[in-house]
Amino acid sequence: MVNTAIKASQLIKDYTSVRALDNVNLEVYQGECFGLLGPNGAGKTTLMKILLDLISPSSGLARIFNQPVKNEKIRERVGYLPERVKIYDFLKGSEFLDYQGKLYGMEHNKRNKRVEECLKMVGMYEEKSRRIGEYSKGMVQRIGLAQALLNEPDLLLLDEPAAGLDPISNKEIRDILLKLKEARVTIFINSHLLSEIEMICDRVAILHRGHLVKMGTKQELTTKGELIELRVEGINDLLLEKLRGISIQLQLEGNQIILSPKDAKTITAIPETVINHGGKLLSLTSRVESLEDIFYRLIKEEEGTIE
Amino acid sequence: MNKILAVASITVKGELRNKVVYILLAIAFLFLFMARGCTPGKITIQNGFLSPDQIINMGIVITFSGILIWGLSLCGLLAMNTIPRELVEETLILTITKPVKRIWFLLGKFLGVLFIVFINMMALSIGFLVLLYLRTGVVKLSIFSGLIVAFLNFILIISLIFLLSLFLPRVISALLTFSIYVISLGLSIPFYFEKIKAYWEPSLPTQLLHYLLPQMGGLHLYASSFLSDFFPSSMGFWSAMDILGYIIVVWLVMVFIFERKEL
Repeated sequence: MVNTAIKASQLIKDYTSVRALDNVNLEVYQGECFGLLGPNGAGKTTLMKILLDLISPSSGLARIFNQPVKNEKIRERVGYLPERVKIYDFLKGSEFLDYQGKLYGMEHNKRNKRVEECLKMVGMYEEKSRRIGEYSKGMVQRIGLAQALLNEPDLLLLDEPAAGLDPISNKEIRDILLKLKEARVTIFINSHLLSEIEMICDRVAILHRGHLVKMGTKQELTTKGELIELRVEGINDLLLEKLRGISIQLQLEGNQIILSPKDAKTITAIPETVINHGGKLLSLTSRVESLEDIFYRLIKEEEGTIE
Repeated sequence: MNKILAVASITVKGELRNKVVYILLAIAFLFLFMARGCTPGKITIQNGFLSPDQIINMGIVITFSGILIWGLSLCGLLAMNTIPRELVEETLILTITKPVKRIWFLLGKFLGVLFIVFINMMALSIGFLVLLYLRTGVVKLSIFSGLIVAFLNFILIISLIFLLSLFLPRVISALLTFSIYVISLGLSIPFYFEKIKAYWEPSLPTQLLHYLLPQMGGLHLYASSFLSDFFPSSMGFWSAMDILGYIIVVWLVMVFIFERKEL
């Protein structure tokens, strides 16, 4: 039996004028890396806040390690990195981590050891004696990650971990996360960076306007198989109608048409169809659906803007 | 308890960087030196003269009141910023997403502010005592008893500002609390001084207001009674109990609201 790290059951969160979460059911298993995707305002941060008991759901239940999130004891096993790390800027990096260690209830020697380890892990050891007010945004983010790792968490909640990081720092943090994943730490990432999620996560959920649109592994979400990308001049209604006839799904963006062919045979029919119906085929490329494609497709499907 | 102290120590560290605290302390010391602790000499009042002892005593009471007012200002200044700043700057997020109850966070913040006020009050009182001794040879340690009693008022003031600042602008919270203090002090006078009582029967609204508001004025007068017989001490116990009751109620309401506050 797989143990659950996070369980959200029929979660609803209403604000005065908007329903931020609408009947969200979600399970994250222990040891997996789970990505939560969604456009701005989808409800990702709301869900994260409920898991951390920063806000209460209007109805439904949220549990971490089978405990209600209201129980602050469970947070001994949780590390959290917010999107914008807000820290007392008068403290030095090491002082801040020491303070965070005290909040975890770590005893003095263990705390000192762990502070050093985490500073080294995030590449901030040399900067430990500088005031946080003097840090760059990326350095603050790294200190934020260090505090999230301080208690050797079983569950790591990361809200946009790459925010404000340069590409090198981003890769370093990804490597840290991959190491944690190897160590069977449960990681729950809320991110816009689909490529990052694709590289790290075992499963993803897509949230849109408070609804959980889809959840599963990338393979489970890729139902459309191969994608054909066409660049065509002279697109007309008749041509589009014919192409729709041989596609599961078609998406038009300027002179670019992205379609999922019904079967392998129809791929060969595409150039002929374009030419016979007044179009000029500029290019034709075939590729496997990326997480970005899946995300875009599912969001557009949800919005009803894809045929 | 360690977690509460961790929050308190960070609060103290943060407040010690607050330049306004030092400016206030410097001004307080300046006034203290300018007043020379108390003023020996003759002061004519109505038809009589005050003896040197009475003058010293009056100086002590005036200085003590000054220290209290200064302490109240410091309480207001620190308390009105403590919680709102944490909320606005969101620095509390990385504290309360740890295995920390929200009440522990509030208690830590509260203890931090109280500690700063305490240290400042002690510094000022010791400065005053030294000055008094050098000028007059008088040692008046009862000032500490008065301060301990007055500290109950400070606890209520800080708590009340904490509570109000959860849903009101910070300056309004402080002003409202001080208004309650001043009204309570003014209303206490006819109830505590027998000679005034004999000439003035407070109206029903005045009586109602007096009994409804926290007895901060009564406690202020009681604290002063440790330094001079001029002040009545008869209702001190009940004032202290009343303030204690208010402190408990304010904390219950504050914790209730803060536990449910969406962050």
